[in-house]
Amino acid sequence: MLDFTKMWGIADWIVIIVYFVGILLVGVSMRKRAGKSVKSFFVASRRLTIPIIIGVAAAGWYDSWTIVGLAECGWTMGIVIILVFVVPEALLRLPLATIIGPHVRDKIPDWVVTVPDMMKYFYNNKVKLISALTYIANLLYDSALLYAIAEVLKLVTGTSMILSLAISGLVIVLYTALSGLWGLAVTDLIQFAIMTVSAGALMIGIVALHGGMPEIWDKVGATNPTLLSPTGGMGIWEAIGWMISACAMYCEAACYQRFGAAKSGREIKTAYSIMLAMGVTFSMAMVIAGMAALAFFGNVADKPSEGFWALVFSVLPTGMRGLFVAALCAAVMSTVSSDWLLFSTCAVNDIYRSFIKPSMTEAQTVMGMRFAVGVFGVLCVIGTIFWANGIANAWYYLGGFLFAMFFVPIVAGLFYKHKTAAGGLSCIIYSACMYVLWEFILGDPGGIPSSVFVSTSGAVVYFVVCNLTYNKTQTMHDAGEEV
Amino acid sequence: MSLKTKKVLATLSVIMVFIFSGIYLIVPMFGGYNWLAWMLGILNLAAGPTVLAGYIVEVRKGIFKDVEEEANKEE
Repeated sequence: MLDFTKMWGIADWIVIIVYFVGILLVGVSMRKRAGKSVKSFFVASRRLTIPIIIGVAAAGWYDSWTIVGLAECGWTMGIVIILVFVVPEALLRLPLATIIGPHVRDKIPDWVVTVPDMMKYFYNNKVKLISALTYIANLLYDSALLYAIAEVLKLVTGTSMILSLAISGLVIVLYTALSGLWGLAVTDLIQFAIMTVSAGALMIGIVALHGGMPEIWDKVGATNPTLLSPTGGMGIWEAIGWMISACAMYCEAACYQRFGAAKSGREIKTAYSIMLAMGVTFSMAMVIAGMAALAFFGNVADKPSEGFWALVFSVLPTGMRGLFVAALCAAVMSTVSSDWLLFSTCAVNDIYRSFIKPSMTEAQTVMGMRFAVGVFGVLCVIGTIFWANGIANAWYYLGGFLFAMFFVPIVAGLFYKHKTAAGGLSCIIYSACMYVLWEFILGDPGGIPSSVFVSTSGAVVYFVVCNLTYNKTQTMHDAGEEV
Repeated sequence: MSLKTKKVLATLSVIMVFIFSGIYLIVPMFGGYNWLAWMLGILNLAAGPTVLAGYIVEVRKGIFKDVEEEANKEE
């Protein structure tokens, strides 16, 4: 096993410490703006403009999986990951950025601030409750992301994983609980800048110090020629499964939170389009980095993540190495913090306040949300034990589950005129049960990924039930409204 | 930023997404070219700081002034 701790210098520690302290200071400075109401805490009073939306959106869409996970994919799968994930991710998310985002911001009423709220608006309270509970369960994905931080800090600095998890968890809890989305917006912007600068420096370093792309292609081709094949020996169903996981962002609650926080739909359209152009470039850099790691360190590293960090440490000087590790921490912290903010809103505002104690004041709700952020932080740290074998498939499975369960109810809810509460409820319940059955009990029969089968059959269930339960009285009412 | 500038920016960005996607999809199939690594390096180096600079310019123009004043009043 390679020993990175000898290459980790004081300048790197200073960069990491400055980063953590800086993020905390932003949280403290933004606390006044955030504490006014649920709307100010959760959607930053709906005041975000283009540069901040780009930062918060990119930090949410491009997380630590994009750095470590995509690099691992570059190492293990080669250029096929560009065909099945990197490019589809950019192109398939364009309608979300240019049509759905502006629609959500401009056409949905002001009281709808979370995805469960949206489910209530489209369907009813039962669907809202199930959505809130399911989104909270997505905490497991955040555990995978936090695990990535702890693993890297242990690998490069020698710090114990428990200490790394405790410190990073505590910092995220503090700045999220203090400043809500106001703080997250600014920290995400800083984190986004750190991520892209680190990726850019890595690419230039690969060319300057390792002979660049021709060398990578030669060595990877010699190691395993399939890695340079456009299809990479991948089956059609697996490829579709990857593409669908790229579409899971359509069901990502944090994504709708960002839409809700924007000043207007026009801001969303511009900011998200710019962010997608930047994002596809960032993702591509990470795939190339993974392939470079295989080419130059494939014979000395025990696993892809070790090879990736060997590449980073061989290319970047001291100080910049600290910045790259800070970039990974930034990627994780921005995603995790927005998720914890979201989960706390689901738990306190969508479940407790809506179903158990409607008399709660705004101030009590915000206080409860701050407390809930801490609780989810602790649960998330505990959940890291599930990811000891690596996080490469985390988004494939959890993204696939989110897509299978919510894609149809959300998109059809936005645009389908004959939607009914029964249709939404039956589709969500069917999809959750069928996903578990197809993935874990039947083991993907015929090689068809659960996300593909469940979302397709779930769509059939949704439209059949909607059409069976949509009555003419409702039709006349809708027609009257249109007139 | 005027509405027209926002529209132009959005359209240009969508076009860039298609161009970048095409380049990243096709070029690796033919081989490893250093210009692609330079392109990825420069674009990534420029992206984050440009957005950060855009934010600083907006804050200097005072786009959050009223929100801050409200928060101070309530305190």
